[in-house]
This record gives sequence, structure tokens and C-alpha cells, in this order.
Amino acid sequence: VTDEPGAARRWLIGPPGIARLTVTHCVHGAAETFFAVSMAGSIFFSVSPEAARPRVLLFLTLTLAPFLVMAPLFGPLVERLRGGLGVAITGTFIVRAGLALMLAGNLRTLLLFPLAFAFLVTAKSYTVARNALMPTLARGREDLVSVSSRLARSATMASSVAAVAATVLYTTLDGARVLQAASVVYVAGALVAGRLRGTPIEPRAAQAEVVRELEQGTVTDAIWAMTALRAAIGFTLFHVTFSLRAEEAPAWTIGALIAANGLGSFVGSVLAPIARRRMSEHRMITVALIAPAVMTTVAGLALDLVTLLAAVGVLGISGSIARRALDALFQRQAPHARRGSVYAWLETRFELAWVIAACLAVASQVATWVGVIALAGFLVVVAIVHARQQFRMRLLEPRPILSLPERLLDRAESLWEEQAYDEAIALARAAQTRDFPRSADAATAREAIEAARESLRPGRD
Amino acid sequence: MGCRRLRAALAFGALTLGLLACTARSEPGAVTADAYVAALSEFLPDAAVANEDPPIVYVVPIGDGALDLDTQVAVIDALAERWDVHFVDDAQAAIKADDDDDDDAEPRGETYVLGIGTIKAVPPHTVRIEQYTDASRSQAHRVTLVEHNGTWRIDSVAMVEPEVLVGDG
Repeated sequence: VTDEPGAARRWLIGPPGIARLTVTHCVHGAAETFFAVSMAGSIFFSVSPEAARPRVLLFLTLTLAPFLVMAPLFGPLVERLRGGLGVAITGTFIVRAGLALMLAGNLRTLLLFPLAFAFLVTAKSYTVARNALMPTLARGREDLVSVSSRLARSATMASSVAAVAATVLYTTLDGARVLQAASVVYVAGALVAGRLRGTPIEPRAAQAEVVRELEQGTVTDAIWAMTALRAAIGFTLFHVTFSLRAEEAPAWTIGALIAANGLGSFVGSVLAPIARRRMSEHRMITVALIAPAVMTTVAGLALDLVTLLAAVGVLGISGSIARRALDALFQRQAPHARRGSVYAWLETRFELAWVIAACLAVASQVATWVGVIALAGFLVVVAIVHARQQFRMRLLEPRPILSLPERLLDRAESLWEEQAYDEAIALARAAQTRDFPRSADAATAREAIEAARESLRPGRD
Repeated sequence: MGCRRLRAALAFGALTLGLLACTARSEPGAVTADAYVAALSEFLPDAAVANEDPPIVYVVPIGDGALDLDTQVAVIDALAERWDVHFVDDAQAAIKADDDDDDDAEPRGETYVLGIGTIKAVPPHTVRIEQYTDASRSQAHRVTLVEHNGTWRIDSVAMVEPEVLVGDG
């Protein structure tokens, strides 16, 4: 039995352990919002888009370099450095606090471009480190999908509050002051993230086992789909930003674009657990590919700010749902690959796809509707390939790799964290029994539940 | 191994590109941003007074395309105290037009739209500047600049035939 304030706290920041990461991510979301709002006062909105395009492309290309280097190195580094991820996260906050202060003095100079892209690299490094740390903290405690959804949900709420504060600060003072405030929030983030430093890294799994799990067709497919979605988000953000700039649209429209993506991510984090109860992970991913394809087609055919924002919002929802589906798939089908080093490698790959697609958007210089329709076509192709692969894979019927007693014990651990000790004891004891069903389906499960209910009715022994 | 080498080569290439971009310098004797500031200053509206927002001035390229980014930033910075200068690629972005056929569309509310060409690199340093009163009407000038000890100033301004900004081109 749990009290209401405790339940609300768990809903917001999760059980101890995960809570530290959730709070860190909320502060990160707030700081990033301050940074985004401050950009409205930057020189980027005073120079012509065509003149800015080569410089943006140059620094986006430079953004690729650290990810190309990091991709193969990050995984082994994560496993070798005890508490390294916590230090890495703290480091990204400290670097961004410094960069925000430097940017505050250079919002109207050419230094804006290198500083803003250094910011981007650091922010993406944070994402890699955070996602690598998440399975370590969630392991044995809680469902990875719930952890991931909660992180996104709580951070969006923190960002919304920060957006109001940052906008007030921007309209009453200026962009430089907003960046100075962002710097303070980043310092606060570094202090909060400091508590993550002692996080132990789980022991290295047998490499062959991890490789075998990652090479399963279903897992490979889901990874490719997620990579495509991340690329689509990167492409859209830059393509639409340059389109809006070319039309001399006010800075708030680009703010609305970022907000639509964030809101979409929030809605996705709420919808993902519901979707997971109703459909398989692969169907979730297929839907997450088709929905933005449809919406971007609509935006391409009836191009205006509203349809563009809707397309970006749907992409945000889809990215969030697909990510949760991928987490769930790893949890079910690749338990040994569900670890920090593998997640670091995965996230680096996703960020690389985002940056490459963003480069393509800046370099392509096509009309807005052409870019949007091309994106829709790309998503449709990826969705068809994904659905076709799944149709083939269904023949193989992958079985869960964790045994039933192991799954029962994992669930008991979660209940223990939730302080539901009686349920945890019952499940742990059940895991010790040897009376497990040889096969299970929905009808047999329902029958067993009803039989148990019947036996508990008053008057029955 | 091959993949690692490819990654290293790509990363090295990206860094080299960055270093080259960061160390790039304009050619000696090139027309500087000061020349554009001098040319534009003659046509700017009244500057902002204390506690007032500076007037917004849109600058549209004429002819060879937009000024390079460094020049644009330097011009904006030089005039920032009294004018809020925005460089735009497309005149449509600066001039409010209800539809493409509306030749009487006027520049946005309290804003000014100036067109500027590229200053000739060799003397006489001339540049075409246009002041747009609406989508189809403008006053065009040929401005001649002179440079003395790195300082640019206007030598002469002559009225010339305007070009149509929006519409039939």
C-alpha cells in the first residue's frame, strides 16, 4: 500500500536511483529551453539564410567528427570507467555552462556559429551518456520503457515551465541575459548530475551473446527504423528552419517548431505505454513510420505553418513511440545487449544519422514542399521495408531469451523498489516453484486468472 | 579495420575543413564591410532616439546575390546602435504583399527596404542602391565611393533608372 504523495513522486521522478537521472534530465530540459529561447536574439535572425547556409553546413559537418570518433570508442570507454557516465554527464553540463556564458557575449558576432555547434556536440554527447546510463539504473528495478517514458514526460514538463520563464526574461531583458540564466541552470544541472557519479556499471556480458542478440533480424530491423526516424527529425528541423528563415518568418515560428517537436515527444511518451499494451513493438514502429509519412505528405501538399508544425509534432510523437518500442524490444529479446555500452553505441549511431540528415537538409536547398514530400517518400519506403521484414520474421517466432523464473524475479525486484514487499515475496517464492506452464496463450492465461479469482471468493476454502 | 580507417578519414576531413574555414582571410585590397556601411548610411531612415526601438531596415541583394556572411555581420554590427538591419534573400520576405499580383503592396509597417548591389573592387568603386517605396516603385541611385587610409566615404550619388523589384521582373 502506498501513500498518494509517494505515488505522485514516483510518477514524476521514479524510484530512488532512477530519480537522480530524472531530476538531472529535467534540469537539462530546462537549461536547453533557456538556450533555445536566447537564440531568438542571435545574429542568425538578421543575416540572410543563403549567406548563413554555408557556415551552418560547415559547422554541422564538423559536428559529425566527434560522433564518427565516438561511435566505436564510447562503448568500451563506458565499460572501463567506473562511474564514467556520471562524470561525462556532469562534464557536458559544465562545458555548456561555459559555452552559454561565451555565447552571451557573442550572440551578434560570427562566433555564434562555432559556439552554437560546440553546444550541439555537447548536448548530443549528453544524450548518448544519458541513454547509456538509463539501462544500468533501470536494470533489475523497473521496466525500461517506463523509465524512458518518465524521463521524457518529466523533462517536457520542466521545459514548459522554463519556456515561460525564459520568454519573460527575453522580452523584458535580452537574449544575452537568457543565456546567462541558462548558464546558471547548467551549473545547477552539473551539481545534480554529480550525484550520478557513483553509479556502478554492470559487468561485461559475453561479447558473442550480445552480438547474437543484436544480429536478430527483428532487433536489426528496429534499429534501422529508429535510425531512419532520427534522421527524419534532423532533416525536418533544419529544412523547415531554413524555409521559415527564407520567408523572414519571425523567430517565434522557429521556437514553435522546437516546441512542437518537444510536445510531440511528450505525447509520444504518454502514448507509448498505452500502445505497448495493445500492439507488438514492431507494429508500434510501423505505425511510428507511417503516421509522419502521412502527415508530411499533407504538409507538402497543403503547405503552411500549421501543417508544418503538425508534421514536426507527429514526427516528435513517432520518434518517442519508436524509441520506447525499441527499449521494450531490447528488454524482451536482447537482455544481454540491454546495457550501457550497447546503448551508447546505439545512441551515437542515432545522433550521427540526425546530423547527416541535417547536413543534407542544409545542403539540398530545395523548395520546402519538395523536401517535405521527399521526406514522406523516404518514411513510406522505410515503413514498407520494415513491415515486409516483420512479415518474414514472424515465421521464426522468436522466443523470449529470459526464462520465466528470471522474468518473475525481475518483476519481484521492481515491486521491491515500489515497496510492495508482499507482492515481491509472493513472486520470488513463485519463481522457486517448478510448476511452470510449458506453453502459454491468452486463453489459458485468462482461464488461470479466473480459476484463481474463483478460489478467492468468500465462502471458498 | 577498414571501417575504422574510413571513420578516421572522415573525421580528419571534417576537422581539416573546419581549420581551413577558421583560418580563411579575405584577400588584401578587397572591399570591406565599411564600404557597404558608408554606402547604406546615406539612405537609412532617421535613427532611433533614446528609449525607442531602432527602425528595422531590410537589405535585399541586387544582381550577383547576397553579400557574404562576414560582411553582413560587420554591417549589422556597425549600424546596430541606431538601426536594426536584416539581410534577406528575397524581396517578397521584406515587402508585405497580399498576393503575387499586388503591385501596390507596401513595405512592412515601420520598416524600410533597401536594395544593394556589389561594390566594384576596382576604382571607381560604384554600387547600385535602391530605396523601395512599394513592390513596384523604387528610387535607384548609383553611388561612387572612395577609400582613403582604410576609411570609406561617398564621393557622389547619381539617380538612375529603377528596376522592378516584384512582379514582372
